[in-house]
This record gives sequence, C-alpha cells and structure tokens, in this order.
Amino acid sequence: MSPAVVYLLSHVLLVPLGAAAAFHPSVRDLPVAARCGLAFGSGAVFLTIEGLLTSLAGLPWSVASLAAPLLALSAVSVLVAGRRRAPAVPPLPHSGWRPATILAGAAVLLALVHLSLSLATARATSVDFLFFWGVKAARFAEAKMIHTELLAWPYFAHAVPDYPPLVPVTEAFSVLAAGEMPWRRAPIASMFWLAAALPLVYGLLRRRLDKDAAAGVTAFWGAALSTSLVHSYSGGNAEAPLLFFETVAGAALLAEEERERAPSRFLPALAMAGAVLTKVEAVPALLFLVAGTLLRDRLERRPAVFREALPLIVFPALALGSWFAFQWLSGLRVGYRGHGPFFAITFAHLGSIAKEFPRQLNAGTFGLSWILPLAFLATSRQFRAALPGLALAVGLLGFLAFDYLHDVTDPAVRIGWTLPRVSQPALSLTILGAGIVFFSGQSRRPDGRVV
Amino acid sequence: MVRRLAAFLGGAFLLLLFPYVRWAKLPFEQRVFVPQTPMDRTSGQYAEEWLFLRLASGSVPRGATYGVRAAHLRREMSLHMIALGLLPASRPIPASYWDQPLDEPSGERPAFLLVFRCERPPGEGYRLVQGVLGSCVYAREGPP
Repeated sequence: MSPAVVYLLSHVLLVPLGAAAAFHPSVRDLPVAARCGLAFGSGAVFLTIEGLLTSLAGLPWSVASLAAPLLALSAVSVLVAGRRRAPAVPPLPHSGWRPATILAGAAVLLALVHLSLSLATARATSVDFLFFWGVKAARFAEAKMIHTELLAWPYFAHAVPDYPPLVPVTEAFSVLAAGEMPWRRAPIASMFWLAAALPLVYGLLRRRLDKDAAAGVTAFWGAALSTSLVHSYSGGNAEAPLLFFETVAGAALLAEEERERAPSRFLPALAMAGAVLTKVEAVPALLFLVAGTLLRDRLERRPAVFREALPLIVFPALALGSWFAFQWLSGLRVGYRGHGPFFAITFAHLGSIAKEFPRQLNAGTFGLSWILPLAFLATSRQFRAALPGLALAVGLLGFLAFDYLHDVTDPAVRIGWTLPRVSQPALSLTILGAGIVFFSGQSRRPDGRVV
Repeated sequence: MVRRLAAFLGGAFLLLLFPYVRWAKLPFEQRVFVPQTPMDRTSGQYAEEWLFLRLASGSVPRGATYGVRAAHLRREMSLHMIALGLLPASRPIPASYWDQPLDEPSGERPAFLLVFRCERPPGEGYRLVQGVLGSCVYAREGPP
C-alpha cells in the first residue's frame, strides 16, 4: 500500500481513538454517523494531549504506543456504555428518506466531491502546509516527539512555534503510520474534517429542527464551506480542523432548546478544547461564543446561566493550559506572540480594512454564502436564538479587524492572505444561526412540537 | 415551511454553481490530473522550488548537514522553509534568514549545498554531484 493511502487511512483511525467521547450519555441521541464524526475530532484532541504528555515524559512515539492507551480508553467506554440499560436521551426518530433529504444529500455529496477533487489536483493547497504545518509534522515524526529544539531554533521562527500542536501532532501520527510525509496527497486529509462535521451539524440541528429543515441547513452549510475551503486555499493547514471544532461547539449550543435547563455541555466544551489546541484565534472565538450563549440564556431566563457556562470555559482553559505548561516545562517561550505591541493601533489602516473586508469575504461565491443567510436572518427578525453564533461571527470579524489595525505597514496584503480562511468559522456560525431562526415557528421538533 | 426549505436548498445548489462553472471552464485535461507538486495550481514559484528540493533530497543522506542557496535571498528563504520539511532527517545550516545574510555558525560548512538554478555556485571545496531541473546539488569535498 502506498504511503499516501496509509497516511489518509490512518486519519480514519482517529475514530476508534476518540470513541470514548462518542459514548458520553449526552451524545447518545445523535445518529451513528454524527457520533463517528465526533469520535474523529475527539481522537485528534486525545492524541494531542497524549502527544504532549509523552513528549514531556520522553517516551518516543510510535503508532502502537500512541494508539494503545486511547484504544483501551475507548474499549472501557464501550463496556461502561453497554452496561447502561438505556441512553440518557432517547435517540432521534428515523423517518426515512424524503425528497428534501435526498436533494440535501445530493448537494452535500457534490460539495464533498468538489472539495476532494480540488485537494487531489493541488488547487486548494495552503502554502503554510509547505512552510510549517507539514514541516512540523514531518520533523515531529522524525524526532518521535514534539521537537522542542526545533521550536526553539531561531531559524524556525517563521513557523510560528507558539501555535498550538493539534494539527502537527495528528499529522505526525499519520506520517509515522505511512513512514513518510506524502506531500502531494496529504492535503486531501482536510476533506475528512468537513466530512466528519457534516453528520454532526445535521444531527445537532435535528435536536431543534425537523428532518427536512436540518437537512436543508446542512446542505447550505456544506456547499458554502466546501467552496470557501477551496477558494481560501485551506488544504493541509489548520483551517479545516478549526472549522470543525468551532462549528460543532456552535451547533451544539445553537441547538439547545429554549426555556429549559441547559443540557450537558460536554460536547461544546470538548469541541472548544479542540479548537484552542488547533489555532490561536480560537481563544477570542471561544470568548465570543460563550458571551453570546450567556446573553441568550439570560434573555430566555434560563436558570443557573453562569454555572451552566462553566464547562465552556474550564475545558478549553485546561486544554490551552496544557499547551502553555508544555511550553514552560520545555523551556520554550510561554504564550502567544502578538502582531506588535498591544493597542499600538494605526487608525490610518481603517480605510484598507473597510476596502478589503468586503472583497475578501466573497467565499468563492461573490459573497452569496454570506448574503443569503444574512437575508434569511433579516426576514426572521428573531435573533435571540442565533445569539451564540452571531456573537462569534461579529466578534471574530471585529477581532480580526482590531488585529489588522496593529500592523506596522498597510495590512491590505495580509488581509488578502488571511481573511478568506480565518473568517470561515464566522461564516459557518452565521449560516447555522440563520438556519435556526429562519425555521423558527415553521419546523417541528422530533417530539412533534412546533419550534 | 416549504418555501423556507426551498430557499435553503436552492441556495445550496446556487452556491455549488460557482465552483461548477469554474471547473467547466477548464480544458478537459486540466480537470482531473495527477499533480507533480502540492502547489501545481496555486503557486508556480513554490511548485518549482518544491520539485527541485524533492528531487535533490535524494542526494542528501540521513543525518547530513545541508544548505540551500539562491540568487535572491527572498527565494532562499522559501527554499529554507520548504527544505525543512522535505529533508526532515537532515540538519539545515542556513546562509540567510528573512532576507538577511548570516554568518555560518562556528564556520561550519554544510556537507551538501542545494543551489537553485545553479545561480550561486559555491567556491572551492565543493563538487557538483547532481543536476536537477536546471539546478545543482554540490557535496563538500574532503572528510565528512
């Protein structure tokens, strides 16, 4: 079997490695495909934590040594779950294939084919994959650990050594399995993250919407994000994993029922832990998502709003803390580097930002991916249910503008390089928020009640 | 409900039209093909550099030191970044970083020099061992 095939197949191994999360009582109502998607993402999170611990302990990595503990954890979870007589939440009813579901499935399939073909024909590769994401993975695999000497080397500063380790660690795992980095085929793995997110988005939306509405929103989300991932050259970098984690966290929170005590927030908390282990900008995104959730919960007069939000902060804080602790214990610079001194703002950049933002937010569809959900939102006039998603979208775009204001020179070129890809979580949650409120009063929940 | 559903589903297919139109405009042989590099359709410059380094990496044994050279320091920087990934078992000795020439640390000279387009050939003490796509690989003469 060629190294490229082994590399890609080893990503599928993330599903059994993260299966423990898929047996948590709070997600047992989700369809099997959605739970597999969750296990995939969780496998990457668990592998990253394990990679940090084994690197600190000086235990050299191999596929077996990394996989065995996580497989054991999964096996224990399956055994414990099997002993429970009934799931904590009844599974969602299955009502068969309907025309709208079939059409949505066709759209999702076309979206995945388009993304896969674009990645396979090197039309969507991120240059950062060649410059640092893939480099870190190849060298971590060679060193059989997180290579701290490399991260501290002054001539590796271009590779943003302070970036969190989820993508290099999971890719290094696949390099270990394949025996080498298959540079030309490796970007195809980005497709797995979208493919894993799709059933999760659908399954989570089903908690609040009926089957047709959930399928329609999922189809739109898949079409918009697959086009955007290609347009923004996100193959092989950390954008697809970040999009996965932030979307799952946002979808889980958006799908919570109104005027009820918040259900277990294990899933969004775990997803946000994955997000902060993936990229720096997940931290402000997390804060905006939590702020939007708090605001919605207060407006809906849910009980114990702050206490229920605690896991959303604690899980990601522990995850981020594990990376910072690793940096500290390894003698690396602790924390993240900024783009210049904080609040050293050049207001003259506002013109470039105002000009470039609309241009660079076209998402490969002349902006329709944004315009349509915003139009759906405007016709609904009920923003409350969408607040978690909208807070992340507006907050993240505002944060990015604030960041560009710190540039020493005109940020127009940097906006062109970065905004199309770093804005994708904002696009994702705008679509999901619009979907939730657009079908308010129209859609029937699985128990038959009108939303 | 039906209208709203049609709006979302119709929107999904409308969005998919954009990549479809782009794809349809391509000549048939450009639609599906096996790329030579990861950057074939995104950056000609990096594709050329990647292909050179990929082919040249076969001349550099595991554990050996190497350096990359180019006529322009900006290109030397991108070669340095790409080579770090393509030669993960070898130790780089950069001659420049972010467009600034560097003193070779402790006077150490790389065992292999990968010279893009043969534009900055090394002086004495190196011999040409491989020509790759118009670029050159040199090996240091004498004991390792």
